This record gives sequence, C-alpha cells and structure tokens, in this order.
Amino acid sequence: MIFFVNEYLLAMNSGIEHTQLKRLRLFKEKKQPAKIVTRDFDPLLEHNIQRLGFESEDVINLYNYFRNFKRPENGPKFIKYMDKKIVDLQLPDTYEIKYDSQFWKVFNHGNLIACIYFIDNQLYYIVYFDSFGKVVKKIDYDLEGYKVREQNYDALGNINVEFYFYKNGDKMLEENYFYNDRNENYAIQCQLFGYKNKSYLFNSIDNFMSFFLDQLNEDYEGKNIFIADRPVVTDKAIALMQTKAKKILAIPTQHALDPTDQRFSNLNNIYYYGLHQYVNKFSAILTDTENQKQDLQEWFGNKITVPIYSISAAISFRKKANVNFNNKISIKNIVYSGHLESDKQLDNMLEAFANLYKLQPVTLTIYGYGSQKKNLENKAVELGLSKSITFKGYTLNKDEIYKDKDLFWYTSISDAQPLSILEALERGIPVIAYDSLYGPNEMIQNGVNGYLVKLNNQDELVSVTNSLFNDEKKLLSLKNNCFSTIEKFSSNSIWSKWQKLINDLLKEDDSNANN
Amino acid sequence: MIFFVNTALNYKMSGIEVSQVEQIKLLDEHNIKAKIVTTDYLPDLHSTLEQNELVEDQSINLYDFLEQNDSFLKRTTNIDNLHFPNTWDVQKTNTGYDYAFNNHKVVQVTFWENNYRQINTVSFFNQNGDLYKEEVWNSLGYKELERFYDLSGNKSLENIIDPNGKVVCQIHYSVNELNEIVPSLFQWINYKNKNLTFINEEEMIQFFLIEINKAEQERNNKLNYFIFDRPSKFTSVCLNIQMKSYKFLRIHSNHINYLNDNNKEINSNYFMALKNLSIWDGIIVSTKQQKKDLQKIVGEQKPIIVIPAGYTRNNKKQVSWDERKKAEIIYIGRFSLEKNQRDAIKVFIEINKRVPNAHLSFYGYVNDDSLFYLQKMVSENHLENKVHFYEYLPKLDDIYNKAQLEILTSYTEGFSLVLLEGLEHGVPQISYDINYGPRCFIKNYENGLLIKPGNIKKMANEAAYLLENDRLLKKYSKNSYKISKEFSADVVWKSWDNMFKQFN
Repeated sequence: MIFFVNEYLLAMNSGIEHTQLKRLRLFKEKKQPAKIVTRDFDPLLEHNIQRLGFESEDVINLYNYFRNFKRPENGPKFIKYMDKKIVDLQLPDTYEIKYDSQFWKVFNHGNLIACIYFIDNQLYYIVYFDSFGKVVKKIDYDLEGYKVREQNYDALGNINVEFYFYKNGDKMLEENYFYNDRNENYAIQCQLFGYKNKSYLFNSIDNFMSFFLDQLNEDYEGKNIFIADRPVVTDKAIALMQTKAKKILAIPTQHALDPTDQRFSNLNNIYYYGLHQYVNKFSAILTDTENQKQDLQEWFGNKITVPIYSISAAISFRKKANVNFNNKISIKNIVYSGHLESDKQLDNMLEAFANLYKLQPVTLTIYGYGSQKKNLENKAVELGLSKSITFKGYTLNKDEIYKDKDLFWYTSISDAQPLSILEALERGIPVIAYDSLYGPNEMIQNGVNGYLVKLNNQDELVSVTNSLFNDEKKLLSLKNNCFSTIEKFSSNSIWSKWQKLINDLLKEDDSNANN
Repeated sequence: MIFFVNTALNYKMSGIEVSQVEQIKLLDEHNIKAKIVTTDYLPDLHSTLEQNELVEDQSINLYDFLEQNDSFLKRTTNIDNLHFPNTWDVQKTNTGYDYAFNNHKVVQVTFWENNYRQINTVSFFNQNGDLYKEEVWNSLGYKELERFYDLSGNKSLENIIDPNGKVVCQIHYSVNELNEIVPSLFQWINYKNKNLTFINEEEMIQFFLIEINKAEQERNNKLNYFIFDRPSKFTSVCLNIQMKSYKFLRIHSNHINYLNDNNKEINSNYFMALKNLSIWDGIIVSTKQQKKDLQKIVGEQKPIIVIPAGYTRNNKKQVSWDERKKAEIIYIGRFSLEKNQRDAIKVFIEINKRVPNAHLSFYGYVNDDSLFYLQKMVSENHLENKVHFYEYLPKLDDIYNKAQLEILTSYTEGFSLVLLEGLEHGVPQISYDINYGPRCFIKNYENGLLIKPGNIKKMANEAAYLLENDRLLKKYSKNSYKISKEFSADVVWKSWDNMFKQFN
C-alpha cells in the first residue's frame, strides 16, 4: 500500500492536495493500491471526498481511524431535522428554540445558552454560551449524529482542552493545548484511551501521528510506502515511525529562501526536519521538476546520500485535445487560475494587464482563492479596470475555467510546479509565463505552445502578449500545438516514472534506511 | 423527610454543622428520617460522614446525586492504577510521589492522610513547568474531578465524573470585571436522559432541591421540611423556587450585628432572609430569649419556634476532680473576631498575676487572621509557656475532662454550644453575659458566673478566686453534671415534636 500523507482535504484545496488527488487518480487507474491519509479532524471530510469525486475508502483520517475501532452497541442514532423538531438532542422540553436561517438558538429562562448549526439538513455542531455571553464549548457531531469532539475554550477564547469520543460515548482522546507567554500555542499533548485496551500518552501531535502511521503500516501486509506530501506537518511524524516502511519526502515548494537562487541561498525553515535533521530516515526525495532536482543536489554539494527523484505532479489524463477556436476577430480573453497569494505576484499581473489594455481591449479572468483576493479586487478598481478584470473564485469545474479563453498568464516568482499551466495546455490554451523556478521552462516551449518571459519583466510580458494577439495565425498555431507538447505529462509517462521509483524502493536493502 | 441544608460538611465543623449532625441523629432515634444536604463538591464527604457516625442514607450531596451514586462502595487505589509510562523517573516525597521525564516534573501525586495508599490528587505539568490539569480522587477511591487550567494558571474547566468514569457535570470558569475567577456555566450531562444548562450556581441548586423534594414526595406523599441553617447562602435560591415543601429559616447566631448593638442593625447573614419573610413557613432559634427579641422585629408575621441547637446525652462518665489538671483553663471556639479571644487573653494576664501556675488552652480552627494577632499578644506579654493554641479537634471529651475552668468572652453567640458541652463534662464556667446562651447554662454561684461583657478585671478576679478555691470548684463541677440534665435529648425532641404537630 502507498500512503499519501497530508494534513487535511478541504472544500477549497491547495496545490498539495491537488497533487495528491491527481496522483491518486493515476494510481487507481493503474490499479496500484494507494490512499490519502489526513491528520486533522474534519467533520466535513466525507462531504469533501464525495465532491472531489473520490470514495470514502480512498482516504484514511487519523481521528476516524481510532474512532471506528469501537462501534456502538445499539444502532446508529439519527438526528432528524424534520418539521423543525430536533429529535434526540436531549434538550429539556422547557427550553425555548428560536429558528434562524443558519442556525437555531436555544434559550432557557430568556438566556441564550446555545446555537445549533446544520449543514445539508444534518446536525453539524453546537456552541454553548456562558453567563458572560462568551462561547465556552463547541461540540461537533458525525454524520450519524453521534458526538465526536468537544472543544473547551478558556477566558481568553483559546482552546484549552479537547475531548474526542467513540460512538458509544466513551472518551477516546484528550488533547491539552499549551500556550507560551505570547499566547501562542506551542504544543498539543494527546492522550489516547481504550485503543486495544490500553492508554497512550503523546507529548506532541507529531508523536501521536507517528503512532497512527505505525498502526496503518501494520494493518497492511507487505512493504508499504509513506509519502510526506506536506512538510512540517507530516515529515516528522513519518520519520519517527517505529515500524519498518519506505519513506519518501516530497518537496512541494521551492526549497531555499531566495526565489532566484535555489542553489546557494539558505534552506527554507519548513524543510529543517525533512531535509536536515531526519533526512536519513527517507529512502527518496521527490521533486516535481528536473530543474529542482538538480538545484537541490547542488545545494547539498552533491553529497546527499538519499536519492532524489523528479516526477511531475502535473498529470494530464486527456486523450485528445479539445481546442476551441473561433474565426471571428474579437476581444482576447486572458485567464489565470491558482492560489491568490503574494508569491504569485498578481498585482504585477494586474499592472501588466493595465498596460496591455492601453494597447488593445482585453479581458482578464482570475479563478482561485487566497489572502490577496480583497487587495487585488481593490487594485482592479483603482486601475479603473473592474469591468475588464473578473474574479470568479474557486471552482472544481476546470472546463469552465478555460472555456473561451485565448491565453493563460503566469507571473509567479516561486512554485514547485504550477499545475494550472498544464491544465491550460491540455485544453489548447497557450501560456505566457515568467521564467521562474520551477515549472514554466519544463512545460513551455518558446513559440510552440507559448512564451517564456524574463522574470518580472512586465514590459516584455505586455509586448509579447500584444504581438501574439495581433497575429491571429500565430495564435491559432500555438493553440493547435499545445496538446502535442505535453506527451511527457501524460498519465502513462508519469506512471512509468512512478513504477521505477516504487520498484527501486521495494528492491532496496532494508538495512539502509529507517535506522 | 427533614432536609438540613448546608453548603458543606468538612472535617473542621463549625457549630452549625455540629448542630445539624446531632439533630439528624436525634430525629433518627425517633424514627423521623432526616438528611444533611450539601451543595459544594466534597471529595472527602464519605470519610467525614463516617467520622460523625452518620450513614450514607443520612446525607445527600448535589454531586453525588448528579452521579446517581447510591452504592458508595469504597475502592482501594494506589499508584499502580495510574499507569504512567515506565520511562518516567519516580521519586518518593513527604507528601507522595513525583514523576519526572527528561529532568522536568510531569506528575505529582498526593494521598489522603499522606498514607501513600489512597490517591488524593494527581497534578500534571507541561514542558514549561505549568500546571495544566489536576485530578481529584475522592475518599471512596475513584477519580471524581478533573480540573483544567489555562495559560494564566486560572482554572478553566471542571469535569465531575461518576464511579463508572462518565462525565456527568461540567463547570466552565471565566473572569469577571473584578478579575475574579467565577463559574460561568454549569452543565449536567445525560441527567435522566437530558442535557441541562445552568448559568449560575443558584439555578443549579434550585433544580437540585426541587429534584430531591420530588423524589421524596413520590416516596411518602407528605410535605418535606427544608431547614436552611445557612440562610445567607440559600435565600436567593429560595426566593423564587417553585417547590412544594416547608421551608424554615434557622438562625444559629445573634440576628443583630454584634458590632453595632446600639443601632440594632440586622446581622448581614440574615438580612435578605428577614427581608423576604414570605419565603419561610417559620423561623427556628435556639433560645426563648432570642425568640422574644426577634418577635420585636418580625412581629406575628411568621411563627418563631425554639429548638435548642444542641443537647446532652448524659452519658459522659463523671470525672473525679483529682483527675483534672490543676488550674487548667480552656477556651473552645474558632479563632475569629466574633469569638473575641483577645479579651480571654487579657483576662488571663490578670489571672496569671494571682495564680502563677494557671494555663490557658485555646482549641479551634482558623477562620480569619485573628490567630496571628492573638499569638502576637501572647508573645508581647511573655506568656508563651502558659497560653497555648491548639488545632481543631472533632472530639473534645478528653480536653473537657481535664479542665478545671472554662471561660467565654465572645461578643455574641447563637447558642453557646461550647458552654453546653462544658456543662455536660462537669466543667465550671465563667462567661460574659451575652446574647444568647450563657444565661441558659450558667446559674450564678451554682456552676459558674455570668460577668458583664467587657469587664475583664471582674472576670479575672472571679476566676482567680475560684482557682484558689478547690472545694468551690468541686461543688460547681458536681452541679454542672446535675444542671446538664435539663438539656437532654428528650427535651429537644419535644420541641421538634411540637413543631411537627403544629405544621402537619
């Protein structure tokens, strides 16, 4: 079994989750047993898995794993939301309930004591208020209506202690949160009860997760592989596993601090454990691009003993191009899809767009979520271009993103590999991108399926785009070329790379790693 | 059922608790069921009941009730129950065991009576050395309370756990405008299949009283009696409680504020209770004299019933005079401003000039900081080897039996139970003639003397005279035993009986 280990799987996901989901789809197609493993508690996990088009069995969550251990003695208890009556919530009949659109309010003697939240007609969670009107407790429920987690808050509003419960009501887990003088949470201590008749105490969440991964490892026979897809959260837990397994450290971002110098600048702190302290616990390091593999090797002075593999995270499952082109000469549409964060340099993109707009009418559509969204919307207004720049938010419908678009722009200064560039290319949309590390120069062929522009050279970005838009024949030829340039990203090509890596690991002598 | 309501029953008992316990035993002897009701969390309640020779059936505590605990089986516990990792280092200390990991303390365990056998508290410390969690194991031997602290070291959450390990109650704490840690939410989990919420302790106690009243009603279909011995804590609870039962206000001390005798200001403990007479079916006091005085304030609005707070058993073996320690003077009472031990020391300073072999022994528990000033007074007068301060003792028979004289200089009393006890043990007594009590027990020149309050010189002279007069003391002692018969259990039972007849 191969485990893709992560922190969470959300409704709106980052590149790491999308990487895992694409890889999972590939492995399933090729009948290689694989699962995504998530650490964080999330009552909406099942919802999210379904919406992403996968099955419940494809994902194992730490909390659900231990919880399913103890089935309830009686049948499941359903909380029914029918005729505005809550069944089995055990509220005294004298309590008054007021119905709001989002939630129900519960009153006793005129005091608001609780708010009950629903999602899709299902009981979601309940918050309780104390005599000062502060939230002191939140209780989350699972899909069957059983209490799952109780979070208790202190006078400052910090989580003080959390309890997790088995379906039969027994205490499963106690998590104590510790804070330093600056009110920052620096550790979470976890105590597990009633698992195989024993109690366990873990002085950090990493140790608890490590124990969990060991249990998983023992559940599946044969040599299992664990991939730390999200550093910080998963590398330590995987490295500290006590049972024998093959471990891969994935590098989902640039590894060093200077975005233009990944060979000699200082290591990004998030890789302290994975690439430094525990690097020898891993059997392989995985990068998305060949360039990053070279740079990383160079960074270690070519002295690193752990082999580095580069396998593209971007995978195309399409069997044929689907180029849409229209004969009419019309306003050109540029699209961007990705995380709206500062390293994507979208304010730079907006400025370039403003300059392009002076030369010809164009539109820009931006898909995605992130911390910069509000700032960018404001900037569009400031530039007087709010009619030409549209922010569409996050969607899973890739076809909608690229429909009727002429060009994909990419202005990021740092990434491990922009998945959206491949998504554009596989739909016949050429890409003009800053030649930043990593990804663009391995996916874009100048003049064939797009153009590479010198990093941060806004003027070049504008002039190249303008010229291209003025040359209908050239634009059409680029569009037609796109699909044929991505053969090396096809599922079969990527799969053979994975096969090699997996075979190498399984052949590896056990006495090497894991010591 | 007669419910004697209080907040706690602890090892150190004040006159109120002593009275309640004795009344319960008396009623029990006459086949009237009675219980002491307590509303605080009391981890050693069951040891205290045992100590007082009460059975489980004669007590009902709010948290026991909530836990639906009726078996009260005692379990043995020791550190093996705690299952700590064997990678931790253990060290035995004076109070228990300390556990450490990587050179910092992780857990501290203490035991009941320091016996290393019955776990009392288990305290948990994090890497920063901060206490983050504490468990309290009760005297029956199971973990009953889990307490969680926040980063400021203030308690944030308490879980009350039943004998099966289930959390039955949760109390959240917050900080009010005065920066005090106060409970801000009480929740009962799965109580008769319901989850209940109370935003303050009053609401919760109200619910509890209503429930125990209901449970008793269902059993015997008669109205129950609730006697509120600590009205200051329970008046607000009773104010709008919807409960069908008799409710009595029991006054255990002077209803007038002793510090302000001229103005006749009501004792703050009874102020709300007396202002809201509609709550009560009647008021109980300990002496006829107090009934008369109270009637001047209350008029005929509510019946006032006299039931002495204590009684004698007449089963004390009469101690011969020679067995008593020469010139041993005792003063029994908690160390507080009200008991005015200061005057007793002033009296002794004078006695000491005439009777150099006299000793004065104080017995009591600390109630405020007065003990510190008393000890200072003693050392300033260089009487450390003649004036002694002793801890509270639940049973004082030996102390009374060895004393030759008992003195009392309180500003005020409700009943002067200590004088009744002295009487019962044949101890001659000299007391300030204060309200209320001394006049009941002391018959001038028969078993003792009443002195005008404040007259230190007079009390000292009379005491010294007596101490120089062994034959007189012997006579007073014999008379004491005789007079104590007037306060027997039967007499007190009659007052109860009359009250029941009046109300039933």
